[in-house]
Amino acid sequence: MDLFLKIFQESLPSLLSGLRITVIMALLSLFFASIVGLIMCVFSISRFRLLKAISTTYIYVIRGIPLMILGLFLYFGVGAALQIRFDPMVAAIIALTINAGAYMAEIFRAGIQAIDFGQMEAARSLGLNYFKAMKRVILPQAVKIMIPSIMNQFITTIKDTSILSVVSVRELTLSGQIIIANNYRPFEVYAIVALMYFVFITILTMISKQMERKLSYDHRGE
Amino acid sequence: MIIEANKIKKSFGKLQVLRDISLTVDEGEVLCIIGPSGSGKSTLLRCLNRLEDIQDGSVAVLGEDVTHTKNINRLRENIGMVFQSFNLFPNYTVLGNMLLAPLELKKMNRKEAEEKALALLKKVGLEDKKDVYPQTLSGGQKQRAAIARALQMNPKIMLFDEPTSALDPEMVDEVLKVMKDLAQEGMTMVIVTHEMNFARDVADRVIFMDGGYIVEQGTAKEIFTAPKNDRCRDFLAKVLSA
Repeated sequence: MDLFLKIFQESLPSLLSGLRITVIMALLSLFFASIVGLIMCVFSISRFRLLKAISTTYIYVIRGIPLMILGLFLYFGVGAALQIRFDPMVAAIIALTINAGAYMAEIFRAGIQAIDFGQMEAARSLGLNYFKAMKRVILPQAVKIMIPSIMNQFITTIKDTSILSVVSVRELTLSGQIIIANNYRPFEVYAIVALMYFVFITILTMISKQMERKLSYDHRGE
Repeated sequence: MIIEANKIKKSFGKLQVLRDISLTVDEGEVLCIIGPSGSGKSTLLRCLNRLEDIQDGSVAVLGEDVTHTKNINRLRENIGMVFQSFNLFPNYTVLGNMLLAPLELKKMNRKEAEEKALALLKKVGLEDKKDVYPQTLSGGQKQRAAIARALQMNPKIMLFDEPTSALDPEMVDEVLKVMKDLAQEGMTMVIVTHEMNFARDVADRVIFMDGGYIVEQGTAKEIFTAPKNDRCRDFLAKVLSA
């Protein structure tokens, strides 16, 4: 036990800085992925065939490519082809954004399309324009359905950051590996790393549950 | 003429649902559209406020060309619509459903809108339900709330798309009563319905549709006592004996 504490103390500063990178990476790419997802979702529900096709192709392609390959391709492949040196963190965030953006687009689209079309018709027939109907009637209902899936995707993306250790971003996983290379203590160090991911994700899950409760309007007799 | 449709054609893909439909509605008139399912009744109704686009012909409502108007939203404010499936907004209370459009469109201030809403809810017998969410209402209550929501906008015309078809039998009358009152107050109404007794009592004029055509039209009395057309006669024989 003493040994474990000692390893914990020694590796903590380095792991915490790794965790910080992981959190920044996750939050930034989730932020951008939400924007990408929203744009692609608007494309996919739009009436214009070209926009629809762009969104469909994007989602189709990204679904079929592993995130690790996407990261390697961006960092090494595109970097070499364009003769530039990517900052690994930037490459990682781009890869995560592109990847998660596709899934977010699908979550948004499914959420909006899950709302009965009669809702839109009723809103429009009262004289509301498309955007007001979306904002006041469709989206509030859709977002409520989407939250569990969005949270799922958030958690997946947080865990996926560890995959990007392959492009040498010194996030939590790579920080752990570097420590293990020095102290040969994989059992303890990986346990601590796992615990850190777990705590981070648990905190996020709690926040999401809170949000879900706040957004619910249909529990009876309230 | 408050509604004037001229030779409308409408198809969904290869399926032609409306063929050469012409019809007029006068101010204060109550028009019932009857006919077998698939005859195009609902589609015709939905063309009147452009929930469906037409492919040929023209529709004018309140003197405005529905197909080409610059401001369909403004026009729709004057055309209330009631759906078979109610379509109340589950994320608002009954009162919230009624206030949304007038406040969002700045038609009234909140105080005015609330006063009007409460008066309407009283009229449809739901004044005690103003603060509940639609999920807690019965079908009949939902439809009455939906009618009140449409009336809140002070429409000049009310369109009803099979308003009682999704209701349990014991709730049909409470909705029909509200509609009857409305007709007696002189509201212009176009009603797609399977309630033949209601049509006979309330309609000034009845249209029978089949296969995308208006097959027969006349006063309620003419249609229900002496239909001239065979298909109309068959249809009425079937539904009235049921």
